[in-house]
Amino acid sequence: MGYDNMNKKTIALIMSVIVLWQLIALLMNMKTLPSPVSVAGRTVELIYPKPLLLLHVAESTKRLIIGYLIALVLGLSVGIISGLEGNLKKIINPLMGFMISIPTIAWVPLLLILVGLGDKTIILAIFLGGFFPIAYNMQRGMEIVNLDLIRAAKIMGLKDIKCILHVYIPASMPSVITGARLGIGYSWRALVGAEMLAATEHGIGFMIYASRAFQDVPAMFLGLIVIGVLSYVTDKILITSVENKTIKKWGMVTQHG
Amino acid sequence: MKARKINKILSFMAPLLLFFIIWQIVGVLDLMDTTLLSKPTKVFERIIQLIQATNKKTIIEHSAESITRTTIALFLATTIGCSLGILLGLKKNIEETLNPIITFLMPIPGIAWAPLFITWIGFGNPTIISVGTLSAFFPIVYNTSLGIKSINKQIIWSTSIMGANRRKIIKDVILPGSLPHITTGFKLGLARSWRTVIAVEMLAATTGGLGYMVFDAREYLDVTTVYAGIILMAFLYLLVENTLIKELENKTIKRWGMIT
Repeated sequence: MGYDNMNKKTIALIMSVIVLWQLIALLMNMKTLPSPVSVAGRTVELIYPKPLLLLHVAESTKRLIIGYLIALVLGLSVGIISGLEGNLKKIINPLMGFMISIPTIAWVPLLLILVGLGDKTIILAIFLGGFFPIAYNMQRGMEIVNLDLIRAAKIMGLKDIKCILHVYIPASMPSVITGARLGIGYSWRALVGAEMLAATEHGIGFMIYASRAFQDVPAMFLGLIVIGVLSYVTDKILITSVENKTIKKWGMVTQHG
Repeated sequence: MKARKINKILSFMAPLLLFFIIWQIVGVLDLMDTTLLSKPTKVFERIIQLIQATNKKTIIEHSAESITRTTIALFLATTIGCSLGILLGLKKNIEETLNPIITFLMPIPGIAWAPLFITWIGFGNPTIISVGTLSAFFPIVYNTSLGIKSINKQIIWSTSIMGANRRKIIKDVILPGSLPHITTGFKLGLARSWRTVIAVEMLAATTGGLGYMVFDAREYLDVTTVYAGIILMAFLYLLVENTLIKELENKTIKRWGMIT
C-alpha cells in the first residue's frame, strides 16, 4: 500500500516538475532553456524517420556491457587472488590505492595516443573505471570471510576452486555487490567522458557533445535525461535484483525501507 | 607511533617503486615501443622541466589552477549542499518532494553537464567551477540529510524536555550527531569535484589546469607529459586524502568517539 502511494506521489511530482519547467521555459529565452515540449519534439525527431537516438543508446550500451564485463571478470579474479595470497596483497594493495586515485578520465588522453580514437579507447576507459573499485572491494570481502567457514569446508573435502565458488564468493557477497555497484557508477562516468573525447560517430556522450556545435540545447537535455534513466535502470534494476536474489535472500543484510 | 607511520608509508611506497623499476626495465630494454611507453626516468625529468619551464605555464601553475577550481567548487557545494541537506533532514515533506529529483540527478556524470554549461556560460572558469560544484553537491546533500535522519529521536526528545530550544538542538545535537555522514559526503564530494574539474578542463579550459595540460600534450603525442600529469594527479589526491581529510576526521568525529 505504501509503495503504491509512493508511486502516485512520484508521478505527481514528475508531472509538476514538467509543468513548472514548461512555465519557466515560456517565460525565459527558448534558446537557453528549452521547454519540455521542445525536448519531446526533438526526441521524436531523433527517433523518426531515422532512429538516431536509439543508435546512440545502443552503441553506448554495447560499450558499457563489454567494458564492464571485462572489469567485472578481471576485477573479481584479481580481488580473489590477492585476497587469498597475503604476499601478493602486500604488493597489489598499494598499487591499487594509487591507481584508484587517478581520475579515470585522465587515462583517456593516454589511450588516445596509444590506441587512437574510437571504440577501443572508450571500452578501455570503461574497464579502467570499473576495475579498481571491483577488485578493491572483492579483496576487502575476502578479508572478512569467517575463517571457520573455510576450515569447515576444507575438512569436508571442498577443493580450491569449489571452495572459492561456494564459500568465499557467497560469504563476501555484500562486498562483491558494493564493488559492482561502485564499478558500474565509475564505468558510466568513464563512458560518458570518453565518448565526448574519443567517440567518432555514435554514443550518448558523443550526442551531447556534438549537440554543442549546433547549439542544440534540447538534444543535450535529452541526453542528460537518457543518462539519468539508464543509470537508474543499471543500478536499481540490475544490481538491486542481484542483491535481492543473493544477500537479501540469504539474510546477510536487513531489508529496510 | 612515529616508527609505525614511517613503516606504513614505506610499505605503501615499496610496491610503487617496484612498479616504476619494472616499467624502467621494460623501457630500457625496448620491450615495447618506447615512444609510447616512455620511461619513469624520462617522466621524472619531464616533471623537473615542467617545474622550471619559462616559456609556458609550469606544472605547479597548472596544479594550482586545478586545485583552486576544486576548492571553490567544493566550498560552494558544501555550503549549498549542507544547508539544503539539513533542511531536507528536518522537514519531511520537503524531503519527499525533492528526494526523487536528487536521486535522478545524482548518478548523471558531472562531465555530461559540461556541454550544456559551455553553451550557457561559455568556456573557462565559470563552466568548470559550476560543473565541479554540481557534481560534488549531490553526494553532500544526500549524506547530510541521511545523517540527520539517522540521529536517534530519543536524544532529541530528551534534550528538548530538558529545555533546549530548537536552535540549540540543531547546533549541539543534530549537527554533531550527523557529522560522520557529513564527513562521508564531503569526502565523496572532494573525490567527485576533483575528478570532474580535471575532466571538464579537458573540454572547457582555455588557459590551464592539469586536465588541460594532459589533453593539450596529447595533441603533440607527448606521452611523457601525459604520464607526468597522471602521476601528479594521483599523488596530489592521495596527499589531500591522507593529510587534510584524516586530520578533519581526527579533529571531529574521532575525538568525539563516534568512529574508532
